[in-house]
Amino acid sequence: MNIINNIKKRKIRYFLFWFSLPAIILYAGFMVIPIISSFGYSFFTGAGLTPDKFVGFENYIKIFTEFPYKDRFINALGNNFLYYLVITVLQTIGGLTVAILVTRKFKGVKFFRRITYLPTTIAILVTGYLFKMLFSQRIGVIDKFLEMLHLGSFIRPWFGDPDTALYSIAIAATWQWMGIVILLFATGIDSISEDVLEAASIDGASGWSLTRHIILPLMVPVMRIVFMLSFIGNFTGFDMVFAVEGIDAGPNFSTDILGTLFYRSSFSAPSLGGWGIGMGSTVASLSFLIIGIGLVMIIFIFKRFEKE
Amino acid sequence: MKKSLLWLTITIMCVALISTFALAGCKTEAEEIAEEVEEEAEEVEEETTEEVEEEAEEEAVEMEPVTITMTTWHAEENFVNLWNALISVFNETYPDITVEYDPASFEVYDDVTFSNLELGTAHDIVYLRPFDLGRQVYEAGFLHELTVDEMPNLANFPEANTGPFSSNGVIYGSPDRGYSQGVYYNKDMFNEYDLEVPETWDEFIDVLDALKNNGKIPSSLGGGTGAYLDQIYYNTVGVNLWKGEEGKAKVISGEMRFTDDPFVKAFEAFEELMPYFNEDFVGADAFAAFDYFEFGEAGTIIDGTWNNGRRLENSDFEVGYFTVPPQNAGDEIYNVFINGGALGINKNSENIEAALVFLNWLATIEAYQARMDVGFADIPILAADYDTENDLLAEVVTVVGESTISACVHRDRLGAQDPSAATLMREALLNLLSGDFTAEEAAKHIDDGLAKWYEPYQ
Repeated sequence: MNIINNIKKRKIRYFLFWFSLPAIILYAGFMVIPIISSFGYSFFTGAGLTPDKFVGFENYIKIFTEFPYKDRFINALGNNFLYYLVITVLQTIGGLTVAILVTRKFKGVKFFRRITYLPTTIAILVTGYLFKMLFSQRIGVIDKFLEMLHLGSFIRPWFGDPDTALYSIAIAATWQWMGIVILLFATGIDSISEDVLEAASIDGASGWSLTRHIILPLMVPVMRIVFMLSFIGNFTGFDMVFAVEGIDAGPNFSTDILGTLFYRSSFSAPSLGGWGIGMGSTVASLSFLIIGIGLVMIIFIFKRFEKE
Repeated sequence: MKKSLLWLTITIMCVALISTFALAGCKTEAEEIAEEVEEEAEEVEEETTEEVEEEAEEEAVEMEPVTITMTTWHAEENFVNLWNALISVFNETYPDITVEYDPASFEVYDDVTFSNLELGTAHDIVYLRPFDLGRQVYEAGFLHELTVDEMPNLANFPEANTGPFSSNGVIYGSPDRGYSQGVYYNKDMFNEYDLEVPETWDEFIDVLDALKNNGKIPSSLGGGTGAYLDQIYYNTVGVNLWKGEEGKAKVISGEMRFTDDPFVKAFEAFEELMPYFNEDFVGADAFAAFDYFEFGEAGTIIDGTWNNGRRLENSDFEVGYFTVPPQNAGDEIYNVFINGGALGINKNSENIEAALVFLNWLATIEAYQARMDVGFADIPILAADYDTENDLLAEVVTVVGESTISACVHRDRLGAQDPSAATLMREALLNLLSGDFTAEEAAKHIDDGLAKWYEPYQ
């Protein structure tokens, strides 16, 4: 019997291996090798896409010590953390709230659950342009709405003011990806056993106490996934800032994040902020490292939180 | 069994790695072959005599059918139509040369073109930017050197127009078109409020005052588009103050700095205009600013003549054009003139001869007239009495003809590294607009930033 089981297990393993082999090859060819190549380029300098002068760790030293590299990198890193925090907090609170609502039973709930995913299906560039129009002081509805509520003193040049531009873009990005967060939380809530919820109801829990004592604790693993996906997405993000502010990441680099810094430093002309592919690869390698460390920290923090 | 599976996986990944490097090796071989072909082509070129060239010109209309591709950063539909119309005119004389117009979007053009030139997949003809922006392309050795021997009509262009597309005395780009930067104005609004085209700076301020008192936006500005701040607003307002090329040469050599009087005064002049801009001038981009003018809400806008036709299609009023006036009546009037772009030939093109025929034709008065006829609204680089129905273009050409033209002060040499003069100027102007900098501080910001890498300032 044991022999038969072992043969079956071996067959399953072979089956799984050969079916996943094409994906492994593609992954190796299009992900692993470019990452290693990019890391390799960070030790070189020179014009064009293939820098040819080996400089060792000079690029890494420059990016932490010399102007303008240090200033731009620290600025982009700081902006990226802010961008990530704003989006993650808004998405977690908003996503969880909407997920709790769409997992209740009422007429039309299926329709509402489906349309929460609609923004995610829109192209990012389109969303960026849409929000540019929404926030426009000339034709945008946001400022008109604020005026209507006699809150005209809050009107700002949303994408033109260094103090508000990054947050305005973060709001656009939050709206864009909220659908995925709602989907994850809703799936998590759906997976809570009905028996648990019934037992809690019988014990007198309802509404907020049910949410606080049953749903929220059980959503912690889902929150971990949301935080991790948000971290990866926002620290590799580029398109939303590009759609709204262009590659300059203005005004005054106030919306510059690691993705835009990488693109501009790698591919733009020097007069437009380009540093060459060597330095650009350095930015990319450091971003990769930051994302890796960030993910480990998120897992560690959530594990401790779950234990408690 | 698990071990053998692991080894098999490692073996496959190694094969993938080796394959990748092998393909890179093939590319190296292709480069060697391309070098050999280039050496042979150079030998053939040396054998060409004047008689052969004349024969070639006579026979130019009867070439072997060939298709060449060209790319620019004008991917807008109307530009595609204009270029295709112009190519049709070219084909009346040269029916055997098909030119395919294949543009890329403005935002990604430089990066895509440079990458393609590096990879050897670029178009036969590429559009080039002037001065520092284009220098990286010229000096990387991607382009075919243009000479009067191969392209006789290149001699038609003055050195001021070929200079921005040259490096070490070698011309890489045949100038294509020019743009002026000045002030568009709403003629109907000026007539309504009995306003005249100002001839001095003080008169300009009076005109803006009058427009403001009548409830109009005197001048619209798009502070949200960084490139407009440094290239258009600062340069257009300041060119009279630093006396065009004279000031530009001094600031490049280090004889003058941005903290010197004319350049600080340019920032002060900009400050003087601030009360006359649209309320949302900080956040509005250049397109939104032009909307204010195009739809009759603003009386003037400082902008470039690339908007002729394209952005003024919806205006239901007569549009006029003047340069920013000098401080005093009778002073020399300067106008920022941009060599909008030039056409270069990819060194690795298989159709260099056909590309040269096309470029040679474009460098004629006949071609510039054809451009006007099909609807291009840019300023012809070759001076002549052109026949145009576009009154605005005719007015622009007259205004530019009466001025002393000058390139932007900060795009030559001062943009070779980051932070470039353009980036620093943008930061300075944004801080000036928000009230965080004074005019002197704005000027100092540029000087201090350039001093970090630009030798004449160190």
